[in-house]
Amino acid sequence: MEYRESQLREQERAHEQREEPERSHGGANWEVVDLRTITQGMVAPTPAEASGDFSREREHALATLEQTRAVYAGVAEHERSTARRDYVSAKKRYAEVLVSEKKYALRAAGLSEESVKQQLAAYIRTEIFDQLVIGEEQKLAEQRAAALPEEKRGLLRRMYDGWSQLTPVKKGLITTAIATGTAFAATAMGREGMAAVELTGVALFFSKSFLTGLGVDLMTGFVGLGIHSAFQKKIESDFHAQVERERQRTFVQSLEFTSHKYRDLLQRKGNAENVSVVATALTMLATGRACGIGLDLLSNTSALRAVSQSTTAALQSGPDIMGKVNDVETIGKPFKSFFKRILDTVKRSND
Amino acid sequence: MTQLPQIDPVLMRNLIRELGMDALEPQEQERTIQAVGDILFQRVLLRIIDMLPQEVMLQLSSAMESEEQNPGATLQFLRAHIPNFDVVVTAEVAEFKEDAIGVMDAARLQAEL
Repeated sequence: MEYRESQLREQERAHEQREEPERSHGGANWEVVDLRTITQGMVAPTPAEASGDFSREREHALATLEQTRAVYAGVAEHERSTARRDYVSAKKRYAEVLVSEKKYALRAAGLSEESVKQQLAAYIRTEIFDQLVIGEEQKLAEQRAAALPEEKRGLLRRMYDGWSQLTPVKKGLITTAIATGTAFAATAMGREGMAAVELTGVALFFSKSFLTGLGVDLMTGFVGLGIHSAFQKKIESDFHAQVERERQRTFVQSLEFTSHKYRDLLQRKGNAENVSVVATALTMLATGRACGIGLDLLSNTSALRAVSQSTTAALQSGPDIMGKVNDVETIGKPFKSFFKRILDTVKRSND
Repeated sequence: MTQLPQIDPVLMRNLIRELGMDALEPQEQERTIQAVGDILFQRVLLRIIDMLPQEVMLQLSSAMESEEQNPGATLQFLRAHIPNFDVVVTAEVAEFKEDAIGVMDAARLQAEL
């Protein structure tokens, strides 16, 4: 028994050593590299991996996790940073043990390495995420709340009610803007006159202002960030009028941006480098914010009138633009035809 | 030239992709986004409640009650009574992102993915 405990302590030390270099240097620390990786070309199995019995390792990692969570939940401000580091480290360790155990079971079931990898990826995406990201945060919140005086707990409940009364779509929009970083990117660019650092406070504690201002504007920026279109459609339908306003604004901005790139191209009498500028501009237009624009907007000449005369003139004076675009193989057909429609509509609107 | 405000790079990271939520089924993704939102709000709330001086708690209640007539009153109150309120709130979001990504990365490394 003592031997096994000493083995576990040894494993923990080795684990800490493997983690430390990442934290302190952002890369390898050659003084503490596990010697087994050099002498054997791979890490030797732990006793649990060798025997297939992970119960002891799992129990130990779980006990450490619970202990560090309890400390972090009730820690004083000046010790918070250390307690957080220990707690996160314990979460990582527990996740590693669970993954090792799952990997062992999958291999023991005779699955191919490819299937093992696929199933492990799904296991991490669902089980590990639910248990160690969502579940642990919930447990931590419960413990932190329980440690508060009754008066503060009451206030906490009332403030939380304000959040939970928002519709799922509104909460989803706020969360997505924060979780994807879109909100911070937009505020960093100075939109809506709000500093990035003020964003979260406004979004969470003054959601009305966030949702009627920046929030819906940001929705068009969710394209390509991994958000399912079904969810995006729900937001669109909830905020239909605001979304339409933003689409028009985004469209004009994207068009102006692309038009400027074209004007430069025309002035410098196209060469290979310029064609790549066109490709970049088109890709941004077609895959980025403008991707969410309904093509019917292209026939809305009132939005297009906002494009300056000089930019339009530059576009019109370049009859070979589509020729150049067609020559760039990396631009797909849909994007080429999308851009052609923009050009045609701009020309029509200026007639 | 206008100087852009400094932002913690962690805030710009895309949790949807980095936590693998982009590979979830639509309904599951929506449920997970809701859960992340609840957690973010809880975390921030717990942090600021903890920092709030006991003697102003009654006033906070009044600010919350007046929110209907005076939109933004709660936020204004919190900013006035919690030093560096916006920095604290933003740091809490950054910590959540960093911790969540760290746990998922450790699991993926162990799985050799």
